[in-house]
Amino acid sequence: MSHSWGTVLSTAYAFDPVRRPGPVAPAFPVAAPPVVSGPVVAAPPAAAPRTRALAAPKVLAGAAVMGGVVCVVVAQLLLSIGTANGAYRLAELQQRSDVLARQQQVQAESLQALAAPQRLAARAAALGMVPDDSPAYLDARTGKVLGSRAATDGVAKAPGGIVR
Amino acid sequence: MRGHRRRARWRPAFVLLTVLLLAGVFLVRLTDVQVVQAQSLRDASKDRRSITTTLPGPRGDIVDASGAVLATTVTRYRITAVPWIAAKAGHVEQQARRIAAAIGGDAGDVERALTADPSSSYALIAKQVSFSALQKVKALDLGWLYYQSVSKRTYPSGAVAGNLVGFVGADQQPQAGVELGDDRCLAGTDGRSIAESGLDGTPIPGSEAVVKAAKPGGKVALTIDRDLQYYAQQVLAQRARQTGAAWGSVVVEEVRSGKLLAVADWPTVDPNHVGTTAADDPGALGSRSFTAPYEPGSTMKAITASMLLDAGVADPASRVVAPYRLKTADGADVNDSETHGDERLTLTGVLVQSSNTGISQLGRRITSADRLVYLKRFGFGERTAVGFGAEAGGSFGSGAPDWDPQTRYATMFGQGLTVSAVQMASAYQALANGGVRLPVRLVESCTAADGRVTPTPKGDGTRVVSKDAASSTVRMLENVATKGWLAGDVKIPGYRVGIKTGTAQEVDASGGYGKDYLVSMAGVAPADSPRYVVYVALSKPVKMNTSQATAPIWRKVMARALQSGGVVPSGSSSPDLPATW
Repeated sequence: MSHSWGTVLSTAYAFDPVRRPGPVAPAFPVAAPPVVSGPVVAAPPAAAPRTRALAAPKVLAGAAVMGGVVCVVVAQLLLSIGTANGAYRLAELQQRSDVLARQQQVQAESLQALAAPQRLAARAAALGMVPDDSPAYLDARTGKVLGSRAATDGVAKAPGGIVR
Repeated sequence: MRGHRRRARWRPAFVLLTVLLLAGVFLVRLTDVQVVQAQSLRDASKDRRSITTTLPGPRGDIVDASGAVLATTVTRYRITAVPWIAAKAGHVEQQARRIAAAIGGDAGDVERALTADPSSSYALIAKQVSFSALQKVKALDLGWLYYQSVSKRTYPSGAVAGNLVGFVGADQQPQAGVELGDDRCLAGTDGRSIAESGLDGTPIPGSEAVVKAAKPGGKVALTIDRDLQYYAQQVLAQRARQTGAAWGSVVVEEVRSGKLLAVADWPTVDPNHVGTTAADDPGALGSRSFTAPYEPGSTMKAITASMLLDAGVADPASRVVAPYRLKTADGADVNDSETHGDERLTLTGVLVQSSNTGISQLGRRITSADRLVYLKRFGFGERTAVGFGAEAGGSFGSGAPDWDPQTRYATMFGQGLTVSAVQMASAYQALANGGVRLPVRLVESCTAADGRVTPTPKGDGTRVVSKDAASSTVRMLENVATKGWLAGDVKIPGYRVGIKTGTAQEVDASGGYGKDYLVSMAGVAPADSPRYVVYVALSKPVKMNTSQATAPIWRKVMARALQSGGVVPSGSSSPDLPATW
């Protein structure tokens, strides 16, 4: 038993170079109990906390593994909740985007209908405008008028409501 | 004790046997499930657990030269109901009224659909309702209504270019025009995606898989200018009604590119309401400018004159004595439209007076065979490069070029052979373009959904007549415009124009020439540097059977083309060529 402790201790010493000279200095087997000297006497009290320290890594390791497992499980749970939520959010946004796309299409449709030439012509006519069949141009360099203005076919008739 | 021992000895064997049997049963069942029934079970499970979503691959748009939309695909909604649930819920009549109010339909129709078979699980309420109507119906919160989005083809510009764009049938399949001709570019393919679904139908993340990718259709761009097209249609319709014509057509072609800027037909189809046209005038479902060849009449004289100039057998001043009636040695009998004494005309004068006897005497200076070669080079007798649906190539009459004597002369002034409006416009394009005829173009390009643009091949120009012959002919046409009897009607202040009129007798039901005329006018402007060809034809105008019927259309459309094309007036005046001697 003590031998095994010794083995353990010697290993412990390897991590404790300050104390190393103590037990190693006497050239006795570690198991020799009769030799009473300061450092060796000092050893047993040091051995007690070391025993606790030995127990601690086991518990720690166990706890760490358990904790890790719990963490992983929780993280995975959270992640899957996250992705599931994301899926709902995605579906919701998708739906919203669909609605907006539809609204956009509705607006584009009515815009196209309003921009149709016959619609524009009708609205222009309602404002009293008539097409000009003989345009004239002013040459900015020479100040000459090119082409000549001729009366248009129809006389513009502005509906009463336009001029306020 | 011994029996007990025997039982003990048999026990392991018994257990082993049982285990083996059970294993056997499991194996059989496993094979059954995993192998034998595998496919059917998988199929059944897919329907229960997965949602298939159609990924729309909508049909592409048709746009004009500036990108204005002529045809597009929109989403509409189909509303269906489950009548037995509706019956169970009660108040069917009242609900039918609310639905009808929401979709703008007839309450009676909705109620009939719901009550026709109260035990049924399916009733069609509306085929294509708009998004706003759908929102209203959804607001009614009726659990027994179902909605499905469907694609619908619509034509925002209505009848504008309807003759060219064509239309689709009730099944959204193309039926006519560019819709049919360029279906390969326009057609889209729907795709499909499958996802596993949760209880409430939400797709399980990561389970979506696109089984087939959607492929949206491409966009077809035309060479047409929508505004000019509208204007041409408007002016044509107005004049055609005024003169009581049976049908009419206006073609505007850009001289330097061969692009058609407008092809108006009257009557014309409104692709949004094809049914009315189909019932009234099936001939108007396409574009008569492409599909209905006719005897063009005197517009052909300018073509014949250019051949004479090109062959070097005449010039604009070549002299001829034109009688009212000409009886030739080979037995042909040609006369002019109005009685007159012998006139001493130049070739220019023959065009100005539109003398049949004059062109007949000059025209025989080249052989019929040569003339046929020229006619073919001008593009007559075969479909144009456009290849429009049901396009006709026209004909040169029987036996060409070994025409009978009468037809030999008649073809010089546009009788006895048939051409389409677009062909005639193309022939004048050659005259205006220095004698080089460019392939007629209607479709500019196809833009695939990924943005790849495939332009329609421009094709090579054909040298038809020499540059000199072409420009001399245009100068003669200018003299027709300034000295002819319609000089006042075709004048566009500031621009030099060249025109030629045509008044052709139409063949009646008996196969001979009747009292009906096809009046037409072809012309170019500005004549000093031609940019546009405008060709107008009116069939059987009853209230005015001369080419004067076409003059206002020609002038207005040409003026608008010059204006919208930003063509600056040259300020120069037309040359004065002698018409008589």
